[in-house]
Amino acid sequence: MQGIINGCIRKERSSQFLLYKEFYSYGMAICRRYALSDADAADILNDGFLKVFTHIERYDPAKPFKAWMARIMTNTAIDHYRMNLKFSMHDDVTSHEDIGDMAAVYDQLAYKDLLVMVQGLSPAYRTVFNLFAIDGYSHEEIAELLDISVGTSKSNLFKARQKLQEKLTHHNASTIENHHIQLKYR
Amino acid sequence: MGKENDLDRLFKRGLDDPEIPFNEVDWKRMERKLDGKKSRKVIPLWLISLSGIAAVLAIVMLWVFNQPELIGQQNVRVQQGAKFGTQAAGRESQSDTAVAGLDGSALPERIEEKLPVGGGRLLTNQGSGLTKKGRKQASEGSLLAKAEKLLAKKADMGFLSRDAAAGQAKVGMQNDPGALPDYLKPGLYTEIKRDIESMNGQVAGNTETARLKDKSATIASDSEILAQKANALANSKDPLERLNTGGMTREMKKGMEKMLRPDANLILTAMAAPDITTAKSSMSSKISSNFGVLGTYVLSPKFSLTSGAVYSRKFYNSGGTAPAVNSYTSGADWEVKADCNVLDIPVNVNYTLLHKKRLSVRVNTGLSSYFMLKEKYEFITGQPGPDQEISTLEVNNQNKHLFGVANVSLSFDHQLTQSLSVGVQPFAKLPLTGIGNGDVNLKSAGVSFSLNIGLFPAKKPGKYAANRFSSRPSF
Repeated sequence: MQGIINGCIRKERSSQFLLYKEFYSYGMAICRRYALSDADAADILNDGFLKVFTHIERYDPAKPFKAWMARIMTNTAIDHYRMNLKFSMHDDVTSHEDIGDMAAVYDQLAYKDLLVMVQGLSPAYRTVFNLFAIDGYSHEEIAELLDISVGTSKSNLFKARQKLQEKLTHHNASTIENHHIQLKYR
Repeated sequence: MGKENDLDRLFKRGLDDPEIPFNEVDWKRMERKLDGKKSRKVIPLWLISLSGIAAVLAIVMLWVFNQPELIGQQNVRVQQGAKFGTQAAGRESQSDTAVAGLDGSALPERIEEKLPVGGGRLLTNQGSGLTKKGRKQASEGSLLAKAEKLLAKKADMGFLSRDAAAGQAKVGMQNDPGALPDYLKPGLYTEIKRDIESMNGQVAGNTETARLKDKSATIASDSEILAQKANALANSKDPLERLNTGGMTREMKKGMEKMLRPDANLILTAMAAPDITTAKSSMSSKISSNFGVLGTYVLSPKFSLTSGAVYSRKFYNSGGTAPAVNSYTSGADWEVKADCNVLDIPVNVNYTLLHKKRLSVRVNTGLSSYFMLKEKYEFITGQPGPDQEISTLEVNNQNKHLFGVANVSLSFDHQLTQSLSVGVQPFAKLPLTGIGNGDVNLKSAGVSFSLNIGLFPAKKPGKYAANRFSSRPSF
């Protein structure tokens, strides 16, 4: 791995290709969550890799490469949609803290279904949900990263969860209906 | 809120590190991105900006290098123009100067040097350190010097004695200062000319002959017109007409003004122009802005050439409804908001339609090259609200359109001082090719406001000066 990174520092195209191929899936998974579509995700991924290749000499080999790269990909995705991050405030955040408690029943949902649901959120909700629920950022970190208040971060997370819950319910209803149709015509 | 709930856990588990197959197409795009980064280094932004400044400097250099030749031409013209003038102070001294080069030793040299045009050159060389007044005086006396030269030449060739020649040149003037000198009379001049032509045949006999004859013919032609004019005056029965030097003076002044008028000049312009930029299916948009520096090289009273660099920030909106075949945005309303930073390098030709004392009107046309420095596009689908889907695209230094836009404008300029004017210019910019990342049909229309400074003021103030400085650059 260090040999590949050293090759990238020397701007060797073969090393760049090996690094790109090795971390393509990992990087693309992050970008897809933040992107509006797979095509957008590919653009963000390449913008992120360009930053990786340009600043690779700043990478500290003592730390995991994946974490360093994930940070770059997340920041690139946020920059990509920064103009569209129109946040909204909601006062009744605390009264809905239990949203999502019923979600355990959907554990078997496929990756693609979940991804479509996340990508269907508005950029503001999607970004906060990804940062908090999946990438493990705190509301304070999110507020600093997105230049918003902690309250705004919380309210947007609440709205994101609310939207996702609706999508899950709708998905479940469709699945059950489809299941009944299949049984009926079997 | 800090604790991880079921929904968060569901999505984290489901979306965490899936196996996504490697896509070669994405790597190809990545390679292009890496190569594009390298190529952008080859043509840096400052070089593009510099090209506009270089265009202005080229015009300045052209003007500067034309200048010495222009002065030479003016001197010759002044001498020729002096044929209309009086034989005033400086006549004697100038004849001495001219005759000094006509001793016997000068004979084997080309006769060209002793002819009026050659005399002009001699005067130019010797008088390079003279003041304008000195040059004028010298030129006024040059005609007498020419006559003396011709007569001296005739004497040296054996047609006439040197003393007789000198006397013949001056006799008429000394005896009767009010009358026309003998050398202006057609008979004598024709005789001298014939003699000179004869000498040319004898002395030259080489390739110089043809050129010499051409020059002689030109001089003779000019001189004959002058001689005819003088002869008509001399033979006139009206004594007032014979003594009327006012007309001649006016004619001389007119000729002088024409001769002093420089063939070219340079005007520097600072401009600012708001405009409305639209694309196909355009919606309402913000006002775009343009700021720039332009240089104009005046080719003639009617024509001038303009170039420079204009920085533009262009905003436009485009929108519509997506076709049903598009599965992603099927039937949805869409809108694109564009914000583009453009370096515009125009090259325009300007034609003066009307010129009055302080106002001038010009029509300008030409081509612009657009260098798209930064393009930001915001794609919006769906109705406003949290569910509205928005994506952005930003492209830097990737699109350039050499001579891709046609410029048409009409300019109105008001002269403030001899070297300062202000102008208003309605303009339109029409694309000849697709502009920007989306190859859009990007049109602009607006009004340009400008301040124009003449870098090299006219040598002689007058209406032509106003004309020159109002030849304002077109954007």
